[in-house]
Amino acid sequence: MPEVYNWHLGRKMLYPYEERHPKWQFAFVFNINRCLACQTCSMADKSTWLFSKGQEYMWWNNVETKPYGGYPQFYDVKITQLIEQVNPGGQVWNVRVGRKHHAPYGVFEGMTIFDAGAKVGQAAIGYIPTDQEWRFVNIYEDTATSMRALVEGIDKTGFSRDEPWKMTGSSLPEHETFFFYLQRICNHCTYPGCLAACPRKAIYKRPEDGIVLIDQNRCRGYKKCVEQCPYKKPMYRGTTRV
Amino acid sequence: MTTNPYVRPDDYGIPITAQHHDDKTVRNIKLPWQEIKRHANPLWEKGYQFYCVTPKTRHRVHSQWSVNDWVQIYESNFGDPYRMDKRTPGVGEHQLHINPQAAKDRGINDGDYVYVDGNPVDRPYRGWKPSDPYYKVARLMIRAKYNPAYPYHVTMAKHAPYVATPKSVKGHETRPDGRAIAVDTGYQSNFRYGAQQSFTRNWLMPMHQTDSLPGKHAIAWKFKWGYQVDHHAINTVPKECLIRITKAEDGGIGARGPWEPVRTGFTPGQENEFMIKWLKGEHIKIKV
Repeated sequence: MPEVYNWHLGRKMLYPYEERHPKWQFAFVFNINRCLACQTCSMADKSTWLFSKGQEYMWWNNVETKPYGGYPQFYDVKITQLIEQVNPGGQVWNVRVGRKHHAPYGVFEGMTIFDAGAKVGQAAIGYIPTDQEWRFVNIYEDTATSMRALVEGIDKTGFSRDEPWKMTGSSLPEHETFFFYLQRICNHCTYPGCLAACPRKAIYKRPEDGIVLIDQNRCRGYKKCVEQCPYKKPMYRGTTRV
Repeated sequence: MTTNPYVRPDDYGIPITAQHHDDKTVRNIKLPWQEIKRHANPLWEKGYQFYCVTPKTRHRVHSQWSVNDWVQIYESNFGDPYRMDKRTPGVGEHQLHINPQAAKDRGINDGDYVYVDGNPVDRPYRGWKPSDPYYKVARLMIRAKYNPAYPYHVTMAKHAPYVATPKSVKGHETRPDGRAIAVDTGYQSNFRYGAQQSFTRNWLMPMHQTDSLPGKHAIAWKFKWGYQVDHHAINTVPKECLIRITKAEDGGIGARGPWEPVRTGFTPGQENEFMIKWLKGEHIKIKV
């Protein structure tokens, strides 16, 4: 299998195709600090592209509340867990090497989805979400991690009936309770998992703008892209060609 | 709460023990903090131990769009265009955010249906009786959603969903697909049973009920005197709502077992070992 350079990881990694880059790269930018998860972008996307039979469950653009939210449910935890099972305790970032131009974050010594995929005989490690997991697109909206008082068992209730104004809260600089909104569309990856996975070579990265496309004429519905895209953005429409 | 001698409220002869909403709204009482802090709401001892806040939602405008399909799908933890659980009133349903520990202490799992009861003196409606057929329509049944952001005794349900009506309940119980739709009018409810109004009351402060009080015109950029719909007939913003929460049904499809996502070990308050590692960022090691 060829090796390609991945500057995020600061090293080469396995990929089924030779390294190649488009002339330009199309990209969208979301300002995470300003987003309040109103879902207007999701609705605009849904009403423009995803209103037909077979597309009811689809949201190419979605905004989820991290860490518990996810569409499909818990996709990020599940992929992370799959890699962990192949490479227990081995997901290590080496920052001892320092920041370099071609390795701005140090070197990742753990496994990518492609490295882990090679261990299980796949282009990339992954899974196909069940119909049940595609439900509840905005699951756990605005849901924070547990209050410190509950986690540490300081006081089961955090509330005193005799002195209701006295609450047990967090103290700075520790800030263990958190949630944030993550806006998600297809990332049009440099090394797409879906493209690597496709047995029909129906997926390609367009040379002029870097957009990742699926050629419907070549596609035969194997769903390997659904299985091996770690962001779960390719979605299968069962009514096409019916 | 004050000790100011110039504050001279009139209790209109209504005793301090009166519990009916209408009496309490009219009656004005002055008490110093030292006394108020010793005063307990008698409902507390009867199991009404949750505050329920009812804020606005960012996905709708009051009740507008409440039963739009895509809004229903996005509004809660339970949006499903294919309605795998036929109990769901539409393609989604309303929810009550609750602290996981508070729910566990009452045997309520994430995603379970619960009954929510307000002050029984006048809620869900004046003169209710358990034997009354309308009681089932008016008593709120809603899905619980674990959210550790809420303190133990505080719950939250967004305001202004579409209420269950006798006809929507009839639709829910007789239609093959179980949707809570009135057969003749097509009215869709956001609830199987009950509504936010099951446990809240409007608040009509006596000082607002005058013909001379000035306020902003509800539908124009000008002042108006006297009756104003948004000032005098506020119907979704409760003055007070101490509620009691009891389990009604299991959350799993068809009321069999727990709601499916909580079986994964990835949900708030029920995290498995890997999820805790992941939340703490310990699945990645940093070599420095």
